[in-house]
Amino acid sequence: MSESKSEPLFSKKNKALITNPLNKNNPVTIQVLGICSALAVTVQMDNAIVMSVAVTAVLVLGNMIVSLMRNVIPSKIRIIVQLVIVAGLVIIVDQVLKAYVYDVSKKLSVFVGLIITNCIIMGRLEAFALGNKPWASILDGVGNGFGYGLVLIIVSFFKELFGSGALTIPGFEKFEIFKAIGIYDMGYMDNGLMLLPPSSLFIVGIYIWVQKYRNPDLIES
Amino acid sequence: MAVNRDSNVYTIIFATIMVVIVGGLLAFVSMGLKPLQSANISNEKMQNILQAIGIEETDGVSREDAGKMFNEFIKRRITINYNGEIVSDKTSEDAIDPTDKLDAFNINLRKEYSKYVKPIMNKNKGDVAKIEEALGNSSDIHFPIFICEHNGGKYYIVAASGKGLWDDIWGYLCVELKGMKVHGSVFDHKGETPGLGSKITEDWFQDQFVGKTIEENDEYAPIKIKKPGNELNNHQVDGISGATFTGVGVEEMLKRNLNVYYRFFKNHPEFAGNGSNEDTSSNTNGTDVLTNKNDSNISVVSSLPFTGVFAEDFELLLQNYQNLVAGDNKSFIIEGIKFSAGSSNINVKSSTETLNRIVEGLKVMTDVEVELGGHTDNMGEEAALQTLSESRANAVKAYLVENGIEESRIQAVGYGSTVPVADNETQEGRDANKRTEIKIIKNNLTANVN
Repeated sequence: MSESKSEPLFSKKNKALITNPLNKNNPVTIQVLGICSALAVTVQMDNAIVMSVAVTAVLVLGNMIVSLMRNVIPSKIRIIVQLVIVAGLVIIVDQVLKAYVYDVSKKLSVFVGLIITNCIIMGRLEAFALGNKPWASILDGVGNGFGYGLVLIIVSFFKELFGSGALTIPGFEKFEIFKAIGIYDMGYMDNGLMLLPPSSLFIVGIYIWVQKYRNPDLIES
Repeated sequence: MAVNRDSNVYTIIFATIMVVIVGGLLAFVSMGLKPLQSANISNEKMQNILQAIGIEETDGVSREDAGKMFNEFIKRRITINYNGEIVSDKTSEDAIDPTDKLDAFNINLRKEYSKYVKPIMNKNKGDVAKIEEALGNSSDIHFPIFICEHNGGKYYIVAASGKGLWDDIWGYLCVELKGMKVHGSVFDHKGETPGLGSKITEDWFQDQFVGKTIEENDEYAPIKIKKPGNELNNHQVDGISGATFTGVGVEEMLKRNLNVYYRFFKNHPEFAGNGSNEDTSSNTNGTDVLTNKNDSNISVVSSLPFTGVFAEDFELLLQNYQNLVAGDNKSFIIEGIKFSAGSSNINVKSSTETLNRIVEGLKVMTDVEVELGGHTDNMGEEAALQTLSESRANAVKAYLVENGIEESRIQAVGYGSTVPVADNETQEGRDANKRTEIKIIKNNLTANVN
């Protein structure tokens, strides 16, 4: 990439593009983007993980393409152009999944469509990729994808653990953790509320609280 | 660049080019991947149908294998209409032609429901008689039946489709015509809530249907989905907590579709009898133990040629138990249950697999009561050996009960050293005499025959 010749690929600034979204500038907890899917796809960990990977992939590709085209996109219809790029990418991803990894595509089913509406993607395209070089945009996509995935995985961990007493991770058998360590024998019952969307809000809320407590800079005056 | 990016002309030209490129790209990808996708979908359908049978050979079959195994197991494909008239009848010799819309395999369950059934139900909301009449008059509505032949048994796989909470749900059920019992089931959905309604695809939910019946006193009895935690009879299964509406959908779907099949099988007695028209005796063993009673349409096995190998015997038993008359047949030795020396503590590590196999078997053979017999060698006092054999049989029984077998179906009996099968003078003989046996002592399915 000729544009990044002037500075090393992983300069301090570029590294920050990846690390910031994981904490200080997390897309879900700080930018408050992508909350909708954080509520919807966190009942089971495997769905959350697959969704995170899919969003990251679309975000990285979308960021890259928009960044490459940033000098030719007419500003009047830039949102429409971004939308077409994202929608096109999602459809291609969906088609490829259906042809080569059918089981994953079944697992994602409705979520693939949700990726298009994920505000993180449009948000990052508009806020970052339109004004930055491709390499920086790719890193920004990776960082925000991971930041989103981090929250999704943490939320789904608690939801599934307390709601179903188990954890599902792609490629592994379901771990029936609570059964294995005998918590049910001590009188615990699965918490049905944890399976419903509102519980995600509680967990995201606690997450933000802990995050701001540890990082007072984030507290708005 | 000299181009003015804000001009309308530039914007329009850009938009046009973009639409053409993206449209062309998507069309290209779609066309290029279509064959692979269709193969996946067709293989998945075969996988669903095979898994619904509920026999071990097709349990957990992978999608790729399903495509190869389908014709091996599914010998006949029939399509019927709502009135039970056969509109298509194909055997496994006839290749599946994707353009033949009446071939049972090509019936699109989801389309059947959403395109033909749903409009009729919506139009005549709640008026059952009118709905039935309209469904009967429709020439578009079809119901597939797949007939699987395996080891002399015939299994009938039927289909159902309906609506869950958000979108279509569908499934296959395997029915045994004798007693109208469900032998296996598979459900699928398009967009039920992840983790809640989508649990209808999980094994624990589907396995519940096995052994349930859709008949009561010679009348159709639909399967009901109950709230979890209730007592269940043999027409009821547990629902999924948090997915009440999906459960309502499954119940409605099964009720409506199975009724059509029930009527069909009742009106077509030639299908009944689970393959009794064929001479099953020549089938697997070559021995003459399977007698064929054409007049009663029930083939009765008086005893099975046990080979002494537990794994094989147990398979044979599972396949034939429905026709097995209790009392006549020998008990057989369960190899693979080990106890600590001189005690009734089961050696968990080496015995669990065998014990679980028996648990599974007894869950399939719900109409059967068994006796567990404990046997010892002759090294010790007769009274002590008697007690030991009793407590060992009871330990096995306790394990089975703990794993969900009704206590009333198992009798534990201690025989001490009274029934040796080998010479107690040698170590090998004594080892062989220390054993646990299982025997069918009551079979409700054949209790009235003979």
